[in-house]
Amino acid sequence: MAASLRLGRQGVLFGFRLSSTFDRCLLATHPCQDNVRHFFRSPWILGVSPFKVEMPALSPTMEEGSIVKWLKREGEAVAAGDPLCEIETDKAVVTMESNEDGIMAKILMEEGSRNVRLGTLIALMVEDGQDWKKVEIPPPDAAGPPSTAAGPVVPPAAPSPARPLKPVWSGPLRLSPAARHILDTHGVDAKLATPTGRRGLITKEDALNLLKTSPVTKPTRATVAPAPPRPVPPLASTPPPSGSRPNVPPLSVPGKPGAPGTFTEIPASNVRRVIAQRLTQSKTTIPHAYASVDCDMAAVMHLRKSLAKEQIKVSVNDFIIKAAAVTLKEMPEVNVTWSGDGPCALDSIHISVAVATNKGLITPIIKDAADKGVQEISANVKALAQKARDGKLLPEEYQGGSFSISNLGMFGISGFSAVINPPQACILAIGTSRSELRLCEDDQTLCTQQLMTVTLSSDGRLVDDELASRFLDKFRGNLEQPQRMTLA
Amino acid sequence: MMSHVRSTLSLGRNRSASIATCSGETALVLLSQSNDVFQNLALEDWIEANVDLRRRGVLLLWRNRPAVVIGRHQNPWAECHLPAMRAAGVPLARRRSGGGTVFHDLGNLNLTFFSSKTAYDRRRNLKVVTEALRRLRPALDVRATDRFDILLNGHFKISGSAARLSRKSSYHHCTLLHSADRSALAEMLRPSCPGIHSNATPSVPSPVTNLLDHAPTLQWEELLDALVHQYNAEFSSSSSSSSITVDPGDEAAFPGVGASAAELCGWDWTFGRTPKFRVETVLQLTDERAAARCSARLQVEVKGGVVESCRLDVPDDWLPPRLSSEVSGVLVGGRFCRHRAAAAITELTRSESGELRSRLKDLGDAVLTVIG
Repeated sequence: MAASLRLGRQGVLFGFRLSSTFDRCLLATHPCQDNVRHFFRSPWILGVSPFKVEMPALSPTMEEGSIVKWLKREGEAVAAGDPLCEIETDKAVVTMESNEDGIMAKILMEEGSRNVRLGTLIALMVEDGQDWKKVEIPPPDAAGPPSTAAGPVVPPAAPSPARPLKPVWSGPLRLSPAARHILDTHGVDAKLATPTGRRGLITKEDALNLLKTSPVTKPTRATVAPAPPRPVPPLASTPPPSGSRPNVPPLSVPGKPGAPGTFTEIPASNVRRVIAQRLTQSKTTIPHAYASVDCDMAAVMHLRKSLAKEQIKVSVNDFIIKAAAVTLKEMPEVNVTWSGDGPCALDSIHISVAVATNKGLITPIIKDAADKGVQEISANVKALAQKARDGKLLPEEYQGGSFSISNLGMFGISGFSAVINPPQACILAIGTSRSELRLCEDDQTLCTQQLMTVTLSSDGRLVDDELASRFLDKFRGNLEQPQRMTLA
Repeated sequence: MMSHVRSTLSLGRNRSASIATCSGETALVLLSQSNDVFQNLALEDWIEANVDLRRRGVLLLWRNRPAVVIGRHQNPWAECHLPAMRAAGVPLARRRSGGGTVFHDLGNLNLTFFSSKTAYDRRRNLKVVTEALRRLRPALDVRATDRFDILLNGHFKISGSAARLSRKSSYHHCTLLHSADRSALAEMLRPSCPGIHSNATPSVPSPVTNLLDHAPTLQWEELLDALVHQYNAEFSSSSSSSSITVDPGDEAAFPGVGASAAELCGWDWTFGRTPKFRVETVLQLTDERAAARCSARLQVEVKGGVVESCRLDVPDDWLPPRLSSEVSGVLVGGRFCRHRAAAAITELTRSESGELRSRLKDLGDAVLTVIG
């Protein structure tokens, strides 16, 4: 072999076995002299290498099956075409035949094993004439779906199926780039990994194996969530995890709120990871179009003050919600969802309002906002926000909105663009009110204006720039002259 | 009514193998004249083993006197109510194909589609049934599902399927509820005892209905004819309505079928093939005379239909521990079968007397109720 020219004896052994663990095994435990002897004697020491019998695909759609009965016992001769076992899958009992001649050496999955996945090792056979009792049993992790690594050596003297020995590698830690990334993301110590690569390289598989065995640590948010330059974007509703309810973000279905008490279950997620996934899905699949407009908040502020005098407490946000709802009512072509190949109009106007809680952002829904007065909207928002902070929102209270509003004005943000909550079509991002000096054309004096920047992110397929602009114009009109909302 | 030709296979050695060697491209339709579930199942096995299915397929139509048929890998104690069946004289059969439990009676038609392994296509087979029904009663909404059931009006199950594939051939059989006794069905298809833990294939219960309830004028004969015609149209090069009536009890025509039927009704196949399971349940014991009651725990492990281990936890003040351990001891090693257990427990009871005897008998009865 070519390797032998460069590396001498070691090269020969490298070439002889695919797995370098074998190599390390022998070199570490036996003096060099013995290697030569082992080379010539190896077939007998190594144990009998078996044919693997794996769970077959008995139909194109089969994914798993149950072993009903073994028709051959250990030690029994098998001819090609002989039935080996009966497997039940999908209401059909199928007799599985052997492809090879040989002797049944070891049955790994007993009768009655259910849900055995395709490719799982179910038995081992050896060639005729070999000692089936000395069959090499691959360790459980190598017994998964077809793996090319020749199983680690099991010398008869050491009967336990040996895992690759942790090598005594005293050099610096060597990580493949993928392994390094994985271990860094999860904050796991690379020294705990068992390297299986050449010259002590910790491969991606080793890193993944280490993750499986070590307790799972939450990946740091910075690396998982795509780092957007924008501040916290609102996204699909996530109920804050509370004692009794699973940590589950529901899928919002506009116009069709989920039945009470129903959840969509996504196993093994924590809030952040799912937020990240939903964000990415939204940003990558929906073509976002942005439009901004400045609204003069003078009228709203004035109205708010006069209502406060009558002990009616409403906030600017409530007016914004009302204005958005009324505008949606006036422009139903914006109250749509993407149905796969075109817009699908919604029959009701439910506004999702982003609420910040300490567990994450959640968007409870104000139902039929266009038909409610500002006072009622205000009461709803307060009640829902409190429920959200207590983690007591019901699914129908956060599932099924047609339009979202996210207000970061309280953080002093002047303006931002939000990420759309699929499958909604738009989201309105509200900034803070700022005072601006403006020249009044009428009397050439300077007057201050309370301006608030709102940015509409819309799904370009449904609400293009032109429609978005008209929407914003109407919205601004409704907000700057609140009395117009009485017309809707 | 379509005109048809029905010929009866005559007895006699010279025709004994005629089905097996029947050549030609035409698909073969067979009608079983037996209503015995074991004979019909044995006939299925015979056809699969002996008929060359490589060039053409076979359809077997059959129906049975009331019987419960469980799948290859199922647990009869979990699937059907053995005491109710015993009271009604309904036998239990285990078929060789997989899937769930069904109740057979004379209003339930069975269809078995035999084909080579490569021609195995359950969807195509079910299309024969749905097309036939559509031609007969176009107003009925019959559709086959992904799980190879046939649903009426999108909701009621009128047919379920199971299949078996072996070396060269395969069969797919399904039921068709024409006019089955639905109350008997509900009565029989419930578990014999609670607390069974096993790896056996579970049945998926579904609401069922009879075709007759939705198409009151649909006669049995009419249904059979339509199915035969449709099968030939789908699988045969010629479209005919001919079918052959066969007698599964005819040993000359089907050599070995008798032995096969005998094996199928034996205890070893029907009950002994149950995958290993465990029963964990609570027994309510009462003593009428002392007007007292208590609960006991029973844990039994059964493998191959035979009790491997048995544990009875009876409060010490109810029965002396030696008696309860004797009861469990006498059950171990024997079949998980009511007759056997009853005999063993009666022996024990005989040697006691007085209050202990009645309590022991009550315990015995409770255990027997669990066994079914």
